[in-house]
Amino acid sequence: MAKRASSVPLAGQTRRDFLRLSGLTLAAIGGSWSLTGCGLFGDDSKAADGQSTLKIDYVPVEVLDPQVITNGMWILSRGISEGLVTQNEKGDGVLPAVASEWKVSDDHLTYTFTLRDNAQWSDGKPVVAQDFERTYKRLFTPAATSAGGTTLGANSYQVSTGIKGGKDFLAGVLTDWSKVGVKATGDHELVLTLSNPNPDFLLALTHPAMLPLPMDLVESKPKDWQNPPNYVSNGPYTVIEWVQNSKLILVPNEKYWDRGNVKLGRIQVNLVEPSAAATATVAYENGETDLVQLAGPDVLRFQKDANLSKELEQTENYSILYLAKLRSQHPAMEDVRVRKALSLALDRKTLAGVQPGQEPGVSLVTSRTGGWDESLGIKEDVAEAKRLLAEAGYPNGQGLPPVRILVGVPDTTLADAMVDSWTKQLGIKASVDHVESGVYTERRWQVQKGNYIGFYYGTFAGLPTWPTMVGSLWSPKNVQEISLPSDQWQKYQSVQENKNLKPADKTAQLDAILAGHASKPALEIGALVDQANTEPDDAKRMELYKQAAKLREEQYLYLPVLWLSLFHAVKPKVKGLQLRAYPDYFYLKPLSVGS
Amino acid sequence: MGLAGYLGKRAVRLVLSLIAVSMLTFTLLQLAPGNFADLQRVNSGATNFGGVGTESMVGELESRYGADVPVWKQYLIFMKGAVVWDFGPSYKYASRNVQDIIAEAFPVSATLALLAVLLALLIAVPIGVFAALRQNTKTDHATMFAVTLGHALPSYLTAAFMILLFSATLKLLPSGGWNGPEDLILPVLALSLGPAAVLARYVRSSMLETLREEYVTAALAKGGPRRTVIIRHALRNSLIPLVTVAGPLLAALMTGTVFVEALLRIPGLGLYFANAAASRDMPLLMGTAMFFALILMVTNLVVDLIYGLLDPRIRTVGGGSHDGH
Repeated sequence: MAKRASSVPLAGQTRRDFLRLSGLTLAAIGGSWSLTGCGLFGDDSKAADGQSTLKIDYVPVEVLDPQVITNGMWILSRGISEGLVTQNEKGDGVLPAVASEWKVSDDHLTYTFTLRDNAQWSDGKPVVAQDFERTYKRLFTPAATSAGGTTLGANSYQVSTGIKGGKDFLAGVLTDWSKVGVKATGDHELVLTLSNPNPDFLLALTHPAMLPLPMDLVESKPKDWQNPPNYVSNGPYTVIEWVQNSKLILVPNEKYWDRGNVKLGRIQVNLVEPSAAATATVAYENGETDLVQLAGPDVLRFQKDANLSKELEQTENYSILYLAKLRSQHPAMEDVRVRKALSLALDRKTLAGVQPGQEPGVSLVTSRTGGWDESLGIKEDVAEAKRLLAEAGYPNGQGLPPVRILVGVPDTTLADAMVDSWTKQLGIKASVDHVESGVYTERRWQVQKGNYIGFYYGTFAGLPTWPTMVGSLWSPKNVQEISLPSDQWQKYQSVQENKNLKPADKTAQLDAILAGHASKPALEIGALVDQANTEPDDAKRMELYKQAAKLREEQYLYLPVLWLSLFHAVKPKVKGLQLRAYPDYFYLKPLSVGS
Repeated sequence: MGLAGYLGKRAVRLVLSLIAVSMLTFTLLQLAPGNFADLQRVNSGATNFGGVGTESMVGELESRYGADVPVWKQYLIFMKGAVVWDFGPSYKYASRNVQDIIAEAFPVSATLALLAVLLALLIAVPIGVFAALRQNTKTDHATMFAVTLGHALPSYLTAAFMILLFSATLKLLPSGGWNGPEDLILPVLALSLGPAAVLARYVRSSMLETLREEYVTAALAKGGPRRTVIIRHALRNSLIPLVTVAGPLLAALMTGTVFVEALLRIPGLGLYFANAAASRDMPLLMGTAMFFALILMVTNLVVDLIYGLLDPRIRTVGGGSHDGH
């Protein structure tokens, strides 16, 4: 034993020596830690809180690549990057940005943009048309959004811009870039060509995926271009510091073409986990942030407080809460009468009262959409709902399996209220199936076994325009897919997952299944939207979209439930805030702080 | 067999355990429903723009490990990198390699952990001694009641309470963030109370045991001042068992504390680990899980070595029968 003990190093020393030594080591570690303390908290932690500093709360940003689907893309379009155009104050039209002017051909297919001579990246290089062409090529190239080797795939959104050849290039059907409708015809001229007229095209260009990237940098530093000090942008502000899960520090882009109108000296964007939202208002009331998004209970508290209520900003009718039919082995939900009965008995008025800022969502198309009228809206009627249920073979709900609402978000308040409506008004059995979000993403596309029937729960927000509301959200293709009988849906999914098919063959096979087995009205919706997309006359076009929208409502495959508002708390010193009902909420450029 | 042999044996065990951890994590991740791309779409602004083109996204994501690479091969590719401390880029934080994320976030969690354990010791030792010296009195019971309560309170509740008290009500401290030393106060307090309670109970029972030892009685009988006997003889020896508790405690805190980090907006490692699991970010989850396992095992090893050094009686044949729990 004694011999073994002596083989331990340090054994010659006494315990006291050892303790002394370990104390010194600890002190040394502590010392070096405190010396590097500045690094621990980020490089820029000591910057002074000047008058022109703004602090805003945001959700964590994982990547600063606008072509990868994350929350990061919505902070970029606020004014870190700048596209050809930006949205106007109301969000229903566009203003010149990098493009100073543009011409649209008579057939509404060719857009010729003139880029300003003085647009510059934050590293001083000029912003030229080739930057846009190269950026869009990256967007349309499968697996090109490589950041450090990880390819996440581009946002599918560009498909809805309708740029000629874009969809086929992305699918791999077309490989010749020169056939895609994106051309830099000079340093300051960019020509974009569409396959069909798209009245939303200019607004669609305000989406983050359409923001330009410094492609030289992206290509030379594929792993590090997003990380300051490498980061380069062309908007009013640029990123000088990024501490993951903590903060983004923005300063004015000194090379910005309209530098004179950028008023803040610095913006600290606090990256707050959604799970910490419950304490977000503490930071706001404690002066740690000047602008924060509010959740339901906080909104009520702010509304009741004489002072805080003045700092409350509402963006009405921002998003749409909807239910989508689940595919099931049990046939009950295949009967449109059952789905209609459930929609007519939702008691949307009561649901709207559950949380602040909600309105009955009587149609999938929000009433903000220009030209919307009551004829599109669902008229609730419990007696009619009961009659329909009985007619479908489920009098008073007898024989109808419990109707489930599949929820993958943390809060089930509204789903619980819907269940309540159905049980009270129709006397049927219903329940909320609250699952982890991974389970949700997988289960909502499956064919539910046994007598599991119901809907999945979701929200959408988008441009309040007809092409978006009818053509892009709950798109004709989505409606056709959801209308497929269960066996065809399974076949459809297996084609989607088949990796041995060539892109063109896959697309053809999928289209064939839809054409052969989707419901007739679903196919008709597709035809109406196609027709609307090419209709040059504004009034006629809107009429076609409306017809499609009405037909879509009558299928009850997607049930609109509520139109939801967004709430922000904004300190009175923040000036120039223009809230828009778009996922980036507002632009940074007009913001300033007063006293 | 000497120390070298002992260390060698432990090293082999450590490597085998790491392989087991990696296989288990990978298997569980494969079994979990949902995948990274779908979740990303649902949990970000993407849902705002409809669901076109999902298939291509999933396809491209998989190509990160080469097109159509079978699952078992993905594991091997990952492990091949892991051997040389290269876990590759995270799916979710796509511009960063997992090892860089660990290098950035670990010092944050480790600083908090070290400070919290130090503070816990500073609180626990006096309380434990105090209670032990007054064994079975009302003071002892009251102290131990408070300590048990402290132990039962989860750290996130303590953190929420402290935010309410120090930030919302007194407006003395920031409610979160990571901008300067003042941001250390709340998390360190929140993290230290639970461990302090655990440690105080250990100090108390260990102290009670030591006080009954003959050498303490002897020292007192020799007429040594009570204070000196308690501090120099009893306390010092009763602190030895603390090493076995404080070590793993430190390791547990160093690997990050999901709730406290989320609540107080601290960019530590725990948050990454939780996010990796929730978003099915394979490289990040594998990297952090293996790193946590490594930290825990190394700490246990260090504890065993220190313990053997502090108390030669522990050094049994082969030196490895004690595992430090």
